[in-house]
Amino acid sequence: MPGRDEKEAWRAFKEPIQRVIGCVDLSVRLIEKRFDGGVRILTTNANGIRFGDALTFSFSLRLAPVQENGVWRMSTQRYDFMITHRTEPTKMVFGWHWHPASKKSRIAYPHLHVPSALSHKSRHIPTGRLSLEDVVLFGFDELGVVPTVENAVAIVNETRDLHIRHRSWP
Amino acid sequence: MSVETIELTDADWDIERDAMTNRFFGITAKQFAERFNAGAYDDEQADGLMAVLAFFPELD
Repeated sequence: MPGRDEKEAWRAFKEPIQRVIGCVDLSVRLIEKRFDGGVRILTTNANGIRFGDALTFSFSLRLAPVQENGVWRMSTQRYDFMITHRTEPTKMVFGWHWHPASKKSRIAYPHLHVPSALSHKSRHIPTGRLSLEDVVLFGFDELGVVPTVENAVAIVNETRDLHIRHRSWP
Repeated sequence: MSVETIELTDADWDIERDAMTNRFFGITAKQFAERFNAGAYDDEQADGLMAVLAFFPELD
């Protein structure tokens, strides 16, 4: 979502995310941290948010401002979407990662981890680039996450469409 | 319907990083950084490592 300056681009990026999370849990607050060069991290806190009866959802996005054709937008450098057991907060159920510039991981493509796959638990299953909205809709459709508002699916689809219109990747 | 976002100070960010490393590894952020730099964590250890590293842009 573009803006006339870095600050406006940041606001235009995070407001739809705040709406999407509001469809899952209205009691939480997201956190952000600004670093040199305008790089920002937008994330749930260390406890994550309630995701259905038995699960917890956490995410973090690392973003950098870019100026193209006179407008500013936030470009995703890295994402991490993680669903864990609520009673075992270190036990990941699903983890969608994309960290193309990671110094630690040799895997640059977007991927999924499914630790319950036992001997293949650490395999990096290729996926396309995902958005936060994709994971939230997965929660509604497959994991029993109860939306906070009646029109939640419409809201999440609307913000996903907005993201698709303005993202730099196909 | 929307949630708030709070911009953290350096001190609050340090507290959040401690909470994250404590959740997954039972240690402080400082201990995690020291162990990470000493090569203690394997990339194939999927549970939590990359989620924790998301809070450490200087390491990753």
